[in-house]
Amino acid sequence: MSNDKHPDHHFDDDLIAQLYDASKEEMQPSTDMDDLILSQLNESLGGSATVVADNPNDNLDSNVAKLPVARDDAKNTHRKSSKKRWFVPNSLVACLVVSVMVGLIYRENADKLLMSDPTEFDYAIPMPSVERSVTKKSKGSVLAEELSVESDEVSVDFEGKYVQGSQLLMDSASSFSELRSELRSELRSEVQGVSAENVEASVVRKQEVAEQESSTLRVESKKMAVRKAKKGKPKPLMRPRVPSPMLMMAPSIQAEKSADETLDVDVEYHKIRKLRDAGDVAGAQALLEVLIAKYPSMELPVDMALLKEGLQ
Amino acid sequence: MDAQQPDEALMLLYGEGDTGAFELLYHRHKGGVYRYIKRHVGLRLDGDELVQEVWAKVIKASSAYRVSAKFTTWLYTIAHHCIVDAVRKHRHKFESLADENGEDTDALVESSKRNDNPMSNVSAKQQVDRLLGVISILPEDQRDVFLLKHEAGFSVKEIAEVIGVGEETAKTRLRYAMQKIRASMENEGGQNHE
Repeated sequence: MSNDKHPDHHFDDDLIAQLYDASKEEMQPSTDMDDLILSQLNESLGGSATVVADNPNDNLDSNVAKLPVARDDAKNTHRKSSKKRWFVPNSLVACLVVSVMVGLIYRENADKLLMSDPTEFDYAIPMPSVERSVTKKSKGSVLAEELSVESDEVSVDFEGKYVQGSQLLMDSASSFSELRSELRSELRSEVQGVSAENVEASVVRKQEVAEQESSTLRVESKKMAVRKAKKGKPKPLMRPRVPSPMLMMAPSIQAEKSADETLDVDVEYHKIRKLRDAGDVAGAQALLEVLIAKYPSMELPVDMALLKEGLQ
Repeated sequence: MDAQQPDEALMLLYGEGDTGAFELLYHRHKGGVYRYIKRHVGLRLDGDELVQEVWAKVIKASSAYRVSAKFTTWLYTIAHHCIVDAVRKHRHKFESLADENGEDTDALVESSKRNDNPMSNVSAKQQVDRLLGVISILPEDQRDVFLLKHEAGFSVKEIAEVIGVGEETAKTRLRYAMQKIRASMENEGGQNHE
């Protein structure tokens, strides 16, 4: 930065620098400003900074004097940190309050906004799911799972449906039992009629046979007994009704089934007794043998037991 | 405390809580920062307030101070940024006064040419005043680099680092500033010689 334009003049860079340096003496900050800035320094440090002193005692005094101030600084720091700790919970509470307010405003102004009530969807239960669940109930599905998943109202409704279904099932079972009892009474009357006819025929036949060929009758009776034994089980008088799987689940149906078995056994006993009374002991024994084979766990009456002993 | 310790060491001591180190630093640089700010903003802004702001920032940033450059570079960078912020905040004042300064510059040149100044025999004091008057009417960026050079004693590289421009830009600004000052001073000096 040379003074090439005016080499003859003495205003070069050095002179300008000297002139400027001479101006520095004139402008200095005032003592008030110094005090102000240094007071800022003390305020910023809070007096906790070390003041270097030549005298060790002064240094010690300053260290002792700064202890309470340092404690105050620690308190201030703790206050700041405790305030910061509440920032997140406060913000969460604020968000919650704002969301609730927005929800309330939206709910109140739903009509103005031409929107449907948002709460109606909360309580609307889709029908297919309920029907499906009721069907499951009627089939004996797990009720506890459905109750835990559905809401309280849905659960109440569901229980109502389930009770209705159970009542329908019980009604159907009772009607079935009534039907069974009717059928049983009819069957007894028929069996009695058939038995009477058989008895009359057998009596007539026995009388004829007894008169003519008792040995031929024995042979035929034996053949009939052997044929029945080969067949495995006697031909039922009435084809048993096969209950539906749902009805087989009920214990009352099982009781009905055992009653049917008892009825069949009684009929067989009646037939055996007729043959025995008619003097066809061998035929009676053959029928008894077939009956025992069919119901091995059955307890025999006394006369049947005697007949069985005669068989043995 | 050793008064001959460099600025960086004193600043580190102050960062550790030694207020005596800061007082020493302050007394070393208070004049330079004060003049740099006051002569930069002139009467357009409150220079005292800016000076306090600069030292307040130094105090505040003392804990984060790292010796990555000269302390004076860091200090005058803070001062420069404070001035720039203040000028931006009060831009209207600088724009209105810029026209007046332009007129002042013209009047200054004319008065130098006319040689009708009754104070023709200028003393050193008058030359200093004249120099300060010329500095005050320099363009802002040229005044900035001139003050950084002669007040803080920075090199062109350091000036460029402080004001955030390239070295060539800083050098050009400084050259223009010196040419204007020299021209103004020589005109008056030549006329005084005549």
